[in-house]
Amino acid sequence: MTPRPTAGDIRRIEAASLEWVDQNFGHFKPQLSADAKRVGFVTKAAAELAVVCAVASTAAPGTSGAPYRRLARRIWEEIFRDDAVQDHMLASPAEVPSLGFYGSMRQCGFDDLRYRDELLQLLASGYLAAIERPPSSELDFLYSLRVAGFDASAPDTVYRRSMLAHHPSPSTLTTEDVYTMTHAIFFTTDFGRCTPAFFSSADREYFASALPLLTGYYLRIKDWDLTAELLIALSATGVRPPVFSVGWEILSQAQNTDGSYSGPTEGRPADQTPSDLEWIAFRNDYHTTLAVLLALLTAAPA
Amino acid sequence: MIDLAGQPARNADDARLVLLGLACALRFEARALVHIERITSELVDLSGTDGGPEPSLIPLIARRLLPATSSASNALLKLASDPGNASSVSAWAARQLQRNSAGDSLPSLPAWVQLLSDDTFAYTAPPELIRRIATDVGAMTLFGTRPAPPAPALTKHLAAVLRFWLFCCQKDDDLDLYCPLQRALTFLVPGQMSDDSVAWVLRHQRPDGRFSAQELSLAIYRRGQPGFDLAGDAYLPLTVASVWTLASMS
Repeated sequence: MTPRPTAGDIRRIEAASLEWVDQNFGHFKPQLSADAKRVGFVTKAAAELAVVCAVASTAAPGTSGAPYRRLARRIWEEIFRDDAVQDHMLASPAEVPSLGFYGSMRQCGFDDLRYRDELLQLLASGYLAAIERPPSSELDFLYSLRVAGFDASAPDTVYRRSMLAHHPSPSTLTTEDVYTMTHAIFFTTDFGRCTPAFFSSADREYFASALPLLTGYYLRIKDWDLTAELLIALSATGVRPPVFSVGWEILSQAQNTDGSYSGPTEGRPADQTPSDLEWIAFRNDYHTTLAVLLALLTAAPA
Repeated sequence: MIDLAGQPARNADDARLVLLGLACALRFEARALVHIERITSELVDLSGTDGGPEPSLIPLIARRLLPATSSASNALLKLASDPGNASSVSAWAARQLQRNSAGDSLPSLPAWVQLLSDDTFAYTAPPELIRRIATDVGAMTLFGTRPAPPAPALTKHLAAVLRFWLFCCQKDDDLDLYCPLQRALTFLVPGQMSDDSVAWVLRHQRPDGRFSAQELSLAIYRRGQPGFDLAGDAYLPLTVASVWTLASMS
């Protein structure tokens, strides 16, 4: 029998994961990458860490905000404000989340007017909007525009084009498909902080039937990354089936002793420097550890 | 010993079960047998020569397997004692079948029934245990001929767990595990038939009649295992499992 995680357990899991982030903070710095090929990957990781802090900055009262504020300041001072990092982001906005990273920093209370001006010029050129994206990435773009304080169109028409809105049979979905669906939910619900009026009753019926099944499936195969994302998706869509609390029970037992959560390794490309074990551990586990932190912030068990 | 597709059955009970599956295939979908080149007269005998359609495989199994008190059930027990045998039935199922054939009362429920009360069980049970549960449900219900011994609430819960595992098998394209699970569900909840389940199993039938899944993985595995026989080790068991499942759902 797996014990239900108590509030104390949840706090310990959160503290241990934050400690792991702190210990590995150097790996989140694109300017310290040992290999130029890693820069894009690491910039994305830093932007995702900023999302966690941004969500924490508006999380429900009672959430321990201080560690996230400290972390946000560190990201701001040691990563985002670095000229080389900014140059890279502004030079390759199709490859790294230049807009989203800025938006998250802004949500955390930090702003860089020079960087903002550069983004405005990119927006005015039409380039950022012209980048070809699937609907789930388009929803990410619209969300990033909003949190960055720029004009953004309503996401309803884009949502209708998304895979999620087409209600595909859960048994046919690939892992990539499920990621596009969880992300569509994140960006349309602001990680559960709003309820879109454009969700139809058919959408809700689909969420209630498909999301619990998928959560159970990814729990079974010990994919903690998608388990965490699906727990957020369940909470954000107001679905609380039994697998929600069971998911937390199992997830609470799956944390590594160093505070990280092991990421799925299937399908990952071979690393150029397999001897760098610390980097490989970071590469494999950082996203899952952040996903669990995000789940703790937005979908913690009652 | 009966020889099917060039593969000798491991023992009399294996052969009998294979023949029952093939007999079922003969009734359900003749195409399934196209790749089986040698069907012996024993198969014709087992499938029934009166020309009347068999309503399902379940009574066929009950009539053919269970009355054979000494040979069949003892062989089942022998199979059960061999954990390395993938087709082995669980010890509990073997005892159940043996007691039933001897007219004895039911043995106590299998140990895994206790595990059902753990909410995490459906998500943590290993595949070997899931396969054993499917076998045990067949024995508990005497292949769907009588209600399952557990309380109705437990039966309902077990059915929900089986449905979840079926979903996982569909996602993994695991026809090998899907078939016994689907049969177990059909035995547990008689009369339940899902068009989706039938369609999903049928999707695995190839033009030559065989049933198979994950062909690319099989081909890769075969390259590294020269002794691996696709027809005997993969297609035949999958075909038998599929047609038995389809028959039990019809």
